[in-house]
Amino acid sequence: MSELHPLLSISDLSVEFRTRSGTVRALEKVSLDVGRGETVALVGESGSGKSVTAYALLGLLDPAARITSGHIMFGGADLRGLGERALEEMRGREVSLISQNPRGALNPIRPVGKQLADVLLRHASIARTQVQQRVVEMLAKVGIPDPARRAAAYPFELSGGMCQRVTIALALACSPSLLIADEPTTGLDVTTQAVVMDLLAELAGASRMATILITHDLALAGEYADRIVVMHAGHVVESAPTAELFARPRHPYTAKLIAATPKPDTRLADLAAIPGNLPDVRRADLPHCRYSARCERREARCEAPLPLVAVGQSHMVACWQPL
Amino acid sequence: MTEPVLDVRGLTRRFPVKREGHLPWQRSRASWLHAVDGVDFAIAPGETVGLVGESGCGKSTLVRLVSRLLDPSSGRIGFAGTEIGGIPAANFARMPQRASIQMVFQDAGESLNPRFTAARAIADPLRRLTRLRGADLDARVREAAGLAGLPDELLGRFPHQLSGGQKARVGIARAVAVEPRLLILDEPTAALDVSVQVVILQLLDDLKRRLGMSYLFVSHDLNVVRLLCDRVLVMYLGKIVESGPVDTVFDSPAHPYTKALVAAIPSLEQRGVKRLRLSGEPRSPIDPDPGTCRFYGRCPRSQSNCATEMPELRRLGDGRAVACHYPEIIACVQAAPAATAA
Repeated sequence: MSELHPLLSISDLSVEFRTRSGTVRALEKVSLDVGRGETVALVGESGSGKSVTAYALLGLLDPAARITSGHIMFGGADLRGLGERALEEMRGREVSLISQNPRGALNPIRPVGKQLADVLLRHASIARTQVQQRVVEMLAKVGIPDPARRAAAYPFELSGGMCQRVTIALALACSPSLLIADEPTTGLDVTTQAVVMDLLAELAGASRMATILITHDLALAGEYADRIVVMHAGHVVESAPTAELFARPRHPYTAKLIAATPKPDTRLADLAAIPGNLPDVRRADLPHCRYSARCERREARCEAPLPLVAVGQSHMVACWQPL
Repeated sequence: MTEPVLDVRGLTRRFPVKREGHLPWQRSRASWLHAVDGVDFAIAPGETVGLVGESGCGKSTLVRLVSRLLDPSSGRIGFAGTEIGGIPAANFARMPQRASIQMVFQDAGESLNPRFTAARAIADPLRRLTRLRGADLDARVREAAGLAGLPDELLGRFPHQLSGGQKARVGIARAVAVEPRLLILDEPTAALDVSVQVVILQLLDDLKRRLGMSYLFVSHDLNVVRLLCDRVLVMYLGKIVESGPVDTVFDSPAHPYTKALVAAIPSLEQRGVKRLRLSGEPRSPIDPDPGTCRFYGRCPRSQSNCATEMPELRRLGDGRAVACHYPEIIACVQAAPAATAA
């Protein structure tokens, strides 16, 4: 990060969920920065805490969750100290979210154009008479053919790819400075995925909007992100510029993840599985390195608390003996 | 060539859809949704054939037809020399061939009975399709579980007590227990993380070799198809538009749709490179014009005759078939002999 103050700076964020079977320590001392205009991918297996990080920053965590420590600095203010009113003002205007299931994110009984108008009227200072025109412009911008007619369509009348374009239009309605895309293309076909990702990259580039791309697909992160943050069981284990991460992964987990991802030129025998499972994060006696039980390089030192340390230009890793 | 395990000719399935008239006194008109339209393909013993295409292209209908869970409108399904397309799906469950064609479903968590233990889930098809009972049945269940890499101590567990990978193993054990000759895998790893996906793919590859099964492997992940399959079928709106050896098809796709599909695979190497993207939506599968190429309108290479003449699936030299008037035969394929001579 070359800039003095990154747009978003999460430091030492810990989140717990109280459940009937014990306290789940979903995030522990998570730190990450996102600069203006930067696309950062959060990758990891399911249950690694990618989405919890995003929802914590939006102030949309489940009531059973509690932020136990840390700061979420966004544009110079700590979001943790903000009241619900101020958060509401911020969401949609400054930070917006594209969720996994586009049809679920849209109101099924309201035409998509009306839903876009709602966002504009709520957050943007725009005259009522100009709303309809802006709605059509925005639908056109996300590549919806015949936008004037489609504005009157209900979500069920549109395909999955079209619905995702509508949610993108909704998210970008007020030109936010940060967009959180939570698995924006799961459930879409590969051809549609490519078109939607290209569109997001193009729109983000045009307005210098920062993007947090949450995905389990390392190849997708590799193609679209500037930087990749790898998460494992509620910890950030590595963070590096994309090309560097693929060329020289330093954390054993990152290396295993890359080795397990099928690529066009790999053979089945070359792919290596990651032994073991994510640890049970309800355990009270979790080791400091939550990957240690799965790690082949584990030694006595791994018991000690480990910080995220710099191993290169904006390359951080949390491991006592990185590769 | 030896006799194929599966030989499908002209397989078609249409579903009636009612199109209401716009005004109350107008009569509704019967229309047909062409889910699978005149599909031909064969699977040889021990072969793995991949099936790819967008959602709504008819993959699932084709799978349900071949696995005999659905009756075809017309066409033939030859299985090991016997015609099975004419047997009503309701009766097929009691036919001896039922054991020979088995399926592994998409989401193992959803397709297992939540009130059955792993052992009971695996024993269920054995009880229905074989005469094994008592100790013999138990032994066979353990053997199948062992093949799928499921430890004995997990056999007493219910689906909610198993991890995603373990549930996938139960689904596989249940399918291979009755010793099928053809295993149909419908996105078997779609719900799994990459770390677990690798293990399941390697297990499937190993099982195929050990048990001599043929696979029909449905997936939207082209990199996975490439890893596991010998040949691939590319489907678009009910028709096969391209088929051939996986490496040939993915390295030099001849059909413009295949080309777009391959161009859509995300990869680090392709970062920032402008690639082929499909615009628009697929044509409607309801009462499609039999004289128009299904890809017309989205195809970047279409000419006027694409709208008046449906391209037939025709063979190219390299073991491939393509349904396009203007297939892209990459220069290097043709120039290859010259290059080696020089």
